[in-house]
Amino acid sequence: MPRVVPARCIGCCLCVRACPVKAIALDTNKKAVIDGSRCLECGVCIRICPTNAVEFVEPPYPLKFKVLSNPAPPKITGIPGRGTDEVKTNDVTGRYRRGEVGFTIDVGRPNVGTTLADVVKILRKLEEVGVELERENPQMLILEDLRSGRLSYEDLEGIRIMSVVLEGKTSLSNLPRVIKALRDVEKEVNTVFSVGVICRFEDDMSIPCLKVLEELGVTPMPFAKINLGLGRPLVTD
Amino acid sequence: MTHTLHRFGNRENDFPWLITPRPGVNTDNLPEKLREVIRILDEVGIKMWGFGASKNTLMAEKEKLIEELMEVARRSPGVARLRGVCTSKEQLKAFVKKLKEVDLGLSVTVSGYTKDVLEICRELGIKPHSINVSLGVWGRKELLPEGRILEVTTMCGHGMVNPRLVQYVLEEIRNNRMTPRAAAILLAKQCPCGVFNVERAEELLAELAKTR
Repeated sequence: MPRVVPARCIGCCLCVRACPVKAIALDTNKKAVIDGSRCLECGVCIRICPTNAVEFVEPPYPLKFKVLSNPAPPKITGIPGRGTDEVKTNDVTGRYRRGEVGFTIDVGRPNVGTTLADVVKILRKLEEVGVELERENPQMLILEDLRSGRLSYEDLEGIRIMSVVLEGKTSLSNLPRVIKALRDVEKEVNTVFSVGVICRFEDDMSIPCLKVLEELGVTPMPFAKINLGLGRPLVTD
Repeated sequence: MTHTLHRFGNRENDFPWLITPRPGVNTDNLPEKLREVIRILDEVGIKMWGFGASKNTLMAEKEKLIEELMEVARRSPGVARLRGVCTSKEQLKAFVKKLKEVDLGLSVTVSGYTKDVLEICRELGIKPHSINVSLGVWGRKELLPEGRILEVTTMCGHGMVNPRLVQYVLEEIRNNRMTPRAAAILLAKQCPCGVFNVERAEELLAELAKTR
């Protein structure tokens, strides 16, 4: 949990207003104090403080997973960052090949937050329908610790974070099963999640997953994130 | 990460972009490559950018930011990811045209209306490689903040711009204690990546402040 150094705090209230979960208040001496039970470890207060009065203190296990709320999480989960480059470097990594679809599922976004218990519900559902979960994503640490018994279901219920991005891929032909699974699990979680579907362009710039989504009655948003293919060496297969 | 994908509202003049080096693939001479990108940013007038999800042009002096970026590019090239936002389709086209010409070999990703980005690709003779299509928000949507606040907050996909802060600046604008521009800049400082669109936010806040 971040810690306020009282001697440096000038009581300007910037952190109080910026905190997304009302975890910060001023005490009777007009110094900021942080309520650890509410804090999501997003780091906003550390970045916004004009006098550097808020310091990062590494939370104990299993609360360290909360640092996934931070856009630039401190390197304490064992896996750098919050997720992979997904589509961003696909032109040079070939993470998603022709005939495959990738998924990015931002749990808790936008502006709602989530417990790790809901995160795991979605991960399990994806696994059930044959999604290959991305190994370079901190999601695997949560699953591994749960399977080994280091984390319990009660722990998961008690760890609330701003958001987490889940990643995986499967074949294009399996997309209908995944969409059905997401439709099922959206009724089981107490949060929101934003879904992205990744695929390669065809040579004529058509988008293979769109036809499948249309058949499933899923209407994509009119916007997307597009890798322009300017990376080198270019993955072409 | 998908922090530029799921934005709410009209995105006609809103094109976040990301330039992502891949260690072991295209990071040779990375500081020089990134300096070239910064030269192009200046040429096409892109003011808002940041790197490594840690600092943007509103949080530090530009020269200092560039210095830090060069250091990161030398020390940990995988973190030297430049992100920013174009505030018009014309600006995006000019930016991508120049990136294509200099051919740095770095991956370039653009978020925005699919039809607009693909139109630019066609005009510039670019064959896009892959796409992440947004299927929007699923689950308990009744938990989302009400009204058009999400049009402002989702410009930071990591959720660092909170709805209460937006309500606060709207009240300050209504009471003539803050201009929409100053409010937009205050919000943009919460988003360290540099993808928060200050121009769009300024217009939105001015509009939203007129209603309660």
